[in-house]
Amino acid sequence: MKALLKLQHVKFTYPDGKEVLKNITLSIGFGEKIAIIGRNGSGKSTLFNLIVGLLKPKGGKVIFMDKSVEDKKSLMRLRRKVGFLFQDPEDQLFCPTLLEDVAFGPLNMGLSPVEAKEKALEVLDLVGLAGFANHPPYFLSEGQKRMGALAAVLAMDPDLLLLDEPTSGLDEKAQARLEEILINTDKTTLVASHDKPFLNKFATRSYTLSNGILLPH
Amino acid sequence: MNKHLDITQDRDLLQGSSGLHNMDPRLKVFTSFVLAATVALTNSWISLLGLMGTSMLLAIWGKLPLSKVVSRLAALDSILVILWLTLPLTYGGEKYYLGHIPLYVEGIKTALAITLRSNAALLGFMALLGTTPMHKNLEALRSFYFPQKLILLLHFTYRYGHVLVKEALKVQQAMELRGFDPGLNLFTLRSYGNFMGVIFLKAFKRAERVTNAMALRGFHGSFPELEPPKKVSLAEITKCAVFCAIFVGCAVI
Repeated sequence: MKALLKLQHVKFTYPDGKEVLKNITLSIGFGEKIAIIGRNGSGKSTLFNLIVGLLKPKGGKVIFMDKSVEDKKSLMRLRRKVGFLFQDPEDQLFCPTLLEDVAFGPLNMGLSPVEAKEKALEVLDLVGLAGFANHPPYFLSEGQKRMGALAAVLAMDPDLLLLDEPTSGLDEKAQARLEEILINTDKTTLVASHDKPFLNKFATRSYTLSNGILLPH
Repeated sequence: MNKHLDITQDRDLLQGSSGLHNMDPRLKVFTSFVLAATVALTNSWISLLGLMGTSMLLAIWGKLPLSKVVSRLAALDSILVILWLTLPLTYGGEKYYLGHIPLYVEGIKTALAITLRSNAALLGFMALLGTTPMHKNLEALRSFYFPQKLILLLHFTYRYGHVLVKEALKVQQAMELRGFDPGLNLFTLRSYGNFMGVIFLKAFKRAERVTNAMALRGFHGSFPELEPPKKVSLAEITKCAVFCAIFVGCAVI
């Protein structure tokens, strides 16, 4: 299978000297759904931050679509193709209304306002928030905020989805909808979570991140 | 959302279908500037009363809920009480006696002028800016070529203000649950110092995460517009011009 993303001997050390990722090597093929399980502080979020270039690895390489992500141009290319759902949705919903928030990415990608609005409404419908399009994000519940943040990520039509603890704060109904979206999507997905039953429903491969090393399940 | 945490715009003022609610935000922001300038420059009693009356007209036109108007003005006036307690007693100049208490005429006049000025301004702003969603007001500022950074600063202060308050309350509750009982002592001061430090760090970390989220979705300096600004009708411009003329007239008198 052709790899969409490759991590080769990726290392990361925090400024306080703690080596959180020691030697991460992983190859993710198109359409794969990979789960990463790990305790709090094991480095799952750090790994995602490294993939999207918010942190710079202390060693090793991130290769996206056969090109090493080293300069600004390759980083911008990667960011257009990778959607990252943060742990805290409050950080990702920064526009005045949910609709504007979801349309923010498509507009920045060069879509016309009409196309961006259409795309945003379509994705909001997918996550079950069509009725909340004109609501300010701060009036939404935690679960709705998370689904709204997911909509904002999906609206950019990414090839790779990085989901950091996507089920936290979701009620059963919202979680079922999220599972349905993840099972039905053909997008390559990398999910970090504690929620093993949730991961088991759609993951094609799973790893445990422990002591800075990825161990296959 | 918990009511006491809600520092966002008053929805009772926002919801409405009056002519003022439907007026273009740019015209309302422009009128607010004119009101602010005239309130600051006006000195005569007739002018101040004229401004107060015009602000009342705006509030009536906007069909602002009376209870909201009264509660907002009462909050402002409760602060102004301090002026009424100090200026008449300390201003100097010609004085009258209320029993044995000397009252300075200029102090009373100054307190009254400040009260009229601030009430007229607040009432006018409530009618003009309170009936427009915050982001529309900010868009209007952008159309007047306000610095983009200032607009972003206002936007994020508004967007994340309540998040910060929520986090501050959580930290405060955590302190109280561990028996914190504030008093006039060094420990209390140190605890509040730590409290402020934690809130600052939380705000800083959140700002970092929001910046990252924006960068990942292609942000490059300004918010893209989802809908182009609407054309302003002649009728709206006329209404705005009438109010601006009244405000300016008050300042000129």
